[in-house]
Amino acid sequence: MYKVLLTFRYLRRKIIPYLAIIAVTLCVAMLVIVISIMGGFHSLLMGAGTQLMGDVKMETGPEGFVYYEQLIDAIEAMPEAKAAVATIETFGMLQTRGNRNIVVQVVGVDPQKLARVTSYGESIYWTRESLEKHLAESDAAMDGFDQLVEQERALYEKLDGASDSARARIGKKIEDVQDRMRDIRIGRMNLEIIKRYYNGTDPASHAMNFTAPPKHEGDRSADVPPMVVGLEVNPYNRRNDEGKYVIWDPWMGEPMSLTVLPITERGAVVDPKPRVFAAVNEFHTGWYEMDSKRVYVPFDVLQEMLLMGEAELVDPNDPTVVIGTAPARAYGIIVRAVDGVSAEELRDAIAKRYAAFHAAHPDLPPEPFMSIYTWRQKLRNLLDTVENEKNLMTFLFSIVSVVSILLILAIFYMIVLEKTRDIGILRALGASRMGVASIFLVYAGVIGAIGTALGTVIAYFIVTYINELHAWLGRAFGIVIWDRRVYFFENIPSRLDPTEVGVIAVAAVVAAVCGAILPAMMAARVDPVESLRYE
Amino acid sequence: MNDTSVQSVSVSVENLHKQYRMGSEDVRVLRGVDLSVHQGEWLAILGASGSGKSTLLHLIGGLDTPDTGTVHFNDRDIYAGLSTAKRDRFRNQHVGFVFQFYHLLPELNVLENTMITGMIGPRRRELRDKAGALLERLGLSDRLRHKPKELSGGERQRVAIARALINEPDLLLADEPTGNLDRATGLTILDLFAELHAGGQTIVMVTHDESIAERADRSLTLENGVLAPH
Repeated sequence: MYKVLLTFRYLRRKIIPYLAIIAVTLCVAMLVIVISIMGGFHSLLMGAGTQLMGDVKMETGPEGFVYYEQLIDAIEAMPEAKAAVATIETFGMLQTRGNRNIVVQVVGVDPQKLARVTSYGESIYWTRESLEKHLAESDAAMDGFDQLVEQERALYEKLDGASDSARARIGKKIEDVQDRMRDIRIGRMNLEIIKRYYNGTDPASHAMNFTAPPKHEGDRSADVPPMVVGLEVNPYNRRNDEGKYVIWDPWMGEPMSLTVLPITERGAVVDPKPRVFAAVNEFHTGWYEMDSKRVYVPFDVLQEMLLMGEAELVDPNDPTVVIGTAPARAYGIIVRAVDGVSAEELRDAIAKRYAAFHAAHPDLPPEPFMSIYTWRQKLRNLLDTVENEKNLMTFLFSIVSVVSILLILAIFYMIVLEKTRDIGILRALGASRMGVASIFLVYAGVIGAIGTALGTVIAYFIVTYINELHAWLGRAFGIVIWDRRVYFFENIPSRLDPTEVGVIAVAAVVAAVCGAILPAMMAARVDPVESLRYE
Repeated sequence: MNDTSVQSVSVSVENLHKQYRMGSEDVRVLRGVDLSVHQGEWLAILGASGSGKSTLLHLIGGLDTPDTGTVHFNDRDIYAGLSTAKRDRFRNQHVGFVFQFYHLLPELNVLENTMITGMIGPRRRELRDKAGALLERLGLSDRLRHKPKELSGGERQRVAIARALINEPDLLLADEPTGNLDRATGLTILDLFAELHAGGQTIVMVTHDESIAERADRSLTLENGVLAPH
């Protein structure tokens, strides 16, 4: 009981323990933040992998493979498979307004089927709800427009008679206000264009069916094949400081030329094929790599452009003589497992099924040339890298934490030296050596617990508001730690795992107590007679 | 003064030796001390500074260890018969120390300083009430929440006495209890000791001041490491 009393009295009156608390707080916060962000990155990769890539994918080289429809039927007949969809993937050049070219990854697919094997349906950006939301936010921004005008006026008034440094500061504020006014006006104008484009129809249905909305009066949109474009492919879709997209120049309905490079079944490159498409919607997955590069087009259109459709075979000596038919080709098949079947189990089952299918269709490549892999295998290098990086960071910060144990040791050494007389008094009053030692161990435990609690709370807030914090750092100091182009995702992922936080918390308290063991032993060995000899 | 001859022996010291190393020299402080303290007796031990009075007091209270010799407390050898942990408990339960420099814990207030001895030992009921009553008896009831630095020397020593008495010890050991006080305040402390003694408290007090020693039932002088009647 006296140990607890003394612990709290010592805590209240001394500055030194606060240094120890700060050390523990920083170490705990650091470890929790690192583990949460790296763990968040890992789990985001895992989630994105299975949601965006499907459970299993089979693919060959760019020349593709035949009999894909029969293969899909065979796969969908398997009890492990829920659905499968054929894809054609290639790279292409998208020519936008003003002859500006963007290299894109072109995926030809049936959108209805794609939505059954991936989260394509959820990634469609323009839906009735999202359009309503954008418009409501725009309405709210327009309501506050007068205030911005007033702010701008007031700032201009302040400019008069201000010092040079103040003028620069006010000038920056005026620019900010004007930027916001411009965003609101342009955003509103473009939302109206998008609303008019969809003409009262459900925007999502056009992405799901590859259809264009009925033309409205004065509509100049082209009657060309549709495409669904990643939200970040259009460089004018810009995110504001709050992370929301401001639509500066919508592409919907606008004719754009897409050029791809056909490769024959034998691997020969044929002349590039340009074709005009019009975007009917956009998609947003949060996976920057995908959002900034991919466009979806109808499977059969891309198949035709890449010369992968069914074709007549002619006699090389007499091209007028038809000698057979070359079956249509696809590039890959994406498969979703039924609930309860893992991607790995599905992969093994497909591999077995494909071996039998291949035996019946010798035209198809055998398995090493027909890759069959799970999303996890596809992302293995990345997942392993992140996992290794997480372990390495945890190890490095654990070493930093050892330094904090040494700091606690040093701090408690000082405290014991300072409290030598108190120790002598307590020993004279009958406190045992263990009792005296345990005062300092309890004291360190309480310091560890307080530091851990503070560190966890700080880490919680930093982890929860990491993206806001990052945006603020960028705005205020131009610091960009998270580059979307490097880390695949547009937002810094984070995930507080209660088990991991619990382990860190217990380890921190134990470490603090360990740091106090030597000073506590020193306290236990204080000679009471010697310590009480003088005032 | 009380008649102690008819009362049983409380503390018995036999042939106690203690030497310290000071620099390169061994200083033999106690050279065969024999002493008996009777229950209820107030004994004063006189001696010059450095004569070994405090060392003897610490040995009687089980705070130090002798080189040779025995200290019996109610017929129990507190060094040969008790482990270190048991001796700590013995000190807590049976001995109360009062020091020249008070030695209060600066972070604790008057009430907490008084209760601390009780808190070290087995849990006792109504410790707070008991400490409050004791402090009231010592005239400190309006100082309960004050820290030691806010008290006068006399008040501090009274708190130290309250702390020594909270566990109702069989033996009160006082090391120059008035040594750091002015004469008038010192006399009030001695009056307090006399009052405690009248209530049956066994007291061993060391001092270098003969006038203070006169207040005790019996005085002995420690000289050249041995005790002699004064």
